[in-house]
Amino acid sequence: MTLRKTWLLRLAFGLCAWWSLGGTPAVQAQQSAIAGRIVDAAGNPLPGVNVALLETTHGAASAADGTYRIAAAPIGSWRLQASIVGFATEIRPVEVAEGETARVDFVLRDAAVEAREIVVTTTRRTEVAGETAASISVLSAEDLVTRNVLALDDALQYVPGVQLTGNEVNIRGSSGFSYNTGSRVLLLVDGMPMLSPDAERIPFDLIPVHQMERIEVLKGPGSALYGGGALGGIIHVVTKTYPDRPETHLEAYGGAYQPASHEVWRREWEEAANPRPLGGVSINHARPLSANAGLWANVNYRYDASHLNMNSSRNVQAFSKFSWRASPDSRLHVLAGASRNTSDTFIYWNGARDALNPGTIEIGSSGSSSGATDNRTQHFSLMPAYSNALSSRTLLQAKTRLTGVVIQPLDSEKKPKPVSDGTIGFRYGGEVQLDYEPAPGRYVIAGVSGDANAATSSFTGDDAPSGQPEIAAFAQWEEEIGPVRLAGGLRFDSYRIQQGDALRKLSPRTSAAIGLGEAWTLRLAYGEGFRAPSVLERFVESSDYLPIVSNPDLKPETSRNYELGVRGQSAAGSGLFFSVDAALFLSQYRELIEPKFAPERRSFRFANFTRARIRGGELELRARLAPGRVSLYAGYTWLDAQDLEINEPLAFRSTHLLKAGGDWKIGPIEVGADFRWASDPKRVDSDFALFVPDAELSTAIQVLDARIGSSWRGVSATLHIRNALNYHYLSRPALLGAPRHAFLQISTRF
Amino acid sequence: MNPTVRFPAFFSTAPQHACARLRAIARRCWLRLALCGAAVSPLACDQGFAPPDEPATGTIVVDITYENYPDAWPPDEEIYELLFVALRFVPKDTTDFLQLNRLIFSDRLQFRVERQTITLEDVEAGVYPYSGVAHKYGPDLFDWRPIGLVEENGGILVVSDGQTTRVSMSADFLDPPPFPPPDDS
Repeated sequence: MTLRKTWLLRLAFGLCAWWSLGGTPAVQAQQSAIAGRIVDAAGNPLPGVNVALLETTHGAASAADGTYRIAAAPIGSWRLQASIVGFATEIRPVEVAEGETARVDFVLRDAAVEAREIVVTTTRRTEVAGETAASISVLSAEDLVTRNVLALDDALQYVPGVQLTGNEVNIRGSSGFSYNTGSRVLLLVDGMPMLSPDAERIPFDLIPVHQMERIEVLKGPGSALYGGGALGGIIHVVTKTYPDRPETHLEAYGGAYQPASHEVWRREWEEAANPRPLGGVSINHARPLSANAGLWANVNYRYDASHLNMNSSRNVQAFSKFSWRASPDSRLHVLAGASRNTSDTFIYWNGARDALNPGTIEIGSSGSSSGATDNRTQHFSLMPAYSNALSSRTLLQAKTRLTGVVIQPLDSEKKPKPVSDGTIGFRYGGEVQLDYEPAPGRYVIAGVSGDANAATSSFTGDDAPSGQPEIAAFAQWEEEIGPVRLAGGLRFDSYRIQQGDALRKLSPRTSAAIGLGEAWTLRLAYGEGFRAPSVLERFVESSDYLPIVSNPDLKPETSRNYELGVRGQSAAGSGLFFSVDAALFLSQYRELIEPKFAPERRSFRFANFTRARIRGGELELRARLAPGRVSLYAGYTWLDAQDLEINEPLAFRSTHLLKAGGDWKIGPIEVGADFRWASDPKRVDSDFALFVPDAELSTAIQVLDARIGSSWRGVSATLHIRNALNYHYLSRPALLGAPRHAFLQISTRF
Repeated sequence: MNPTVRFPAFFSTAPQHACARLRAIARRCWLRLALCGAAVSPLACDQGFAPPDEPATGTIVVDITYENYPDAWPPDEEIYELLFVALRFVPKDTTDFLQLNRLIFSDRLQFRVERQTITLEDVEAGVYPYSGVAHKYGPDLFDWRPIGLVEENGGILVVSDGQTTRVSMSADFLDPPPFPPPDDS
């Protein structure tokens, strides 16, 4: 071995050791510290408060007397965050000088009095939701547990401005219903894109609800931050990390759907005269494994007999998150899990008079197409993420992920057919992000990412590529000038859609947040989004029943969004808490994709079919009237969605969306309700109705969910009544939404 | 050592006191509960989507006569399907046959017969302007052609509620009507 090679090896080894042990010598050499005491509004010490130096990996937890100390704190200007469940998060500036201990005390207010939600989606770094320059809604872990939310799609029903049309997520009308086109809303899990490898759709069962710390919903395109798919918005699932003490949470629920209320439906399906069961169990355990490591694990099982014939499902999930603080400056998180869903899937009904049975399209001796299909779908994912504070002003994050899906149709004996009859796909990739704060109030974030997928499906032709790998580079700059915070970002994405053929896209965004006193923030934002059509959309080839042919020339869907908004909240310490968020927005969409019948090809195929404009306004109100006892929220969205090619309303968009609800503690009893209303869409697409009876019908949605519960000796019991008014509605064409159903949820935590 | 267990105040009292507390809560909150009930009650009156009334139906009886029997009949392997079809519209192309929700069709017709009478019951009442015998001559989904059309009453088949509509028509494998139909059909 030459001397040069030996030197290089030593250097590489040294770099690896430095990297894995974390921290720069400069950071570790300064024995500066931050210390203080955390108390509640009454002056009582608060133990177990998580204190974190933002944009670094430094942190600590407060002791029994409320004191905390962050040793070996990096020198410089920082923001210090104190957070604990039940109290409003506080962020304070702190100056750390060499060899000194900076003292920062906190007085945390009850979350029922004042909430300062923390978000990460808008700028790729932690910031207070009330000060961000974008429309963003947050569902907390408490919101999810209180409502016994079962999966991600279930959770999104409670977010103002978001509507589910079948399995398609609409953020301010972005998606409509587009018959299995790829998702126009991007799913992130801890910052990593997680659309399915095959059809680029949202896998709602990927992460167990109990593992979610919060769900952030960004309304508007986000491609400048996260790339393709973020055409209409982003759903960001932030997962929990381990607590300071071992904690186990057990939960079981069981109940039933109410029998069908219309005699004609019961006549067509006898089972509809009986209650249809649903239920599940969940076991969660989290614990520290050592002073620097911990684990979060979850196993759950769900069964749903469904209110529809041939629509039952069984779902098993197992997930775990391992966290390790390798050094004061570096952390490693590994999220891993798997799920299996065995289900009949109801696709379309047999007409409005036989709405509970799947239909059949008979095409003489050519065959028939059934309105239900049986599948076993298995997902698995592995997501390691590493972060390291390179200096007092620089944070490096590296994330990778591998996710896979295997879909197998079931035979008549409910056994899975070979994978060659179904779909198998993998998605893998990673990103590196560098956060740099060159001066107080100035933030620069830059990074690169790569993504590839490999999928084979019985629905794609032989000439289909297995994937369309993508590379991207992004950069973002933020500057605080007095009360004004300006931000600008740019992302470049390049997809290799075929050998020698690349799709390139540049996505800019810019925004301004202007503080108007302590209570109000005005925001202006402009952003662009795009979605590259999936391999399945471009290369689907099927002639089993209805002919569908490929269209390799599909162009990406694009969007532009302009927004003006204002957010305000009541002053701290007033006892009551009010917040209001109002926004006006204009979105322009180009090259929207849907499967269309092409007479010249004598087949269906995915095609760029129209451009559209969606403008509207949104008003969201939140209030906590009596501290810890009464909380209310309401969100109203008005949409004017126009198909600019045919000058008609854009299909499947409701003009009015209303969501409202609240929780009320009356002594030991807690009651709550959520109501959602969506007006009848002005237009539905007619192609589907050519083949499926009554598929041209649509309805308003008017659903009230109610709950009442109490706790005793650490055991909580809550009775949930979903769709309490038993309002019949269509969740999408030819699919009846769930009628009234009730279940009892029992849980304990120890 | 006497471990301290924290109970909600409600459950730490005797049952009769708990009932009294519940009554107190009810007295304190009745107005708010009543207001909530009043707000929700109008919504409860609307049950949303309901199955439509049973559609009016009638019966179609068709007497089919095959011209040039039996010489005109192709080999069985060239008859992939043979149906009587009634459309609610005049087709422009064989792709229009995919509009399955706007047409009705019979069971497979008998092969190699000179005459056949078929009955279609529970046919939704309405006007069917284009009806006849459809022959699928190949494996492709669109390999269809008409070999005879209903010509009585200008080719318009009218089905009335509870009534039977009877028509006669002829079909000829060797002399099919033009397809797509001329614009004036």
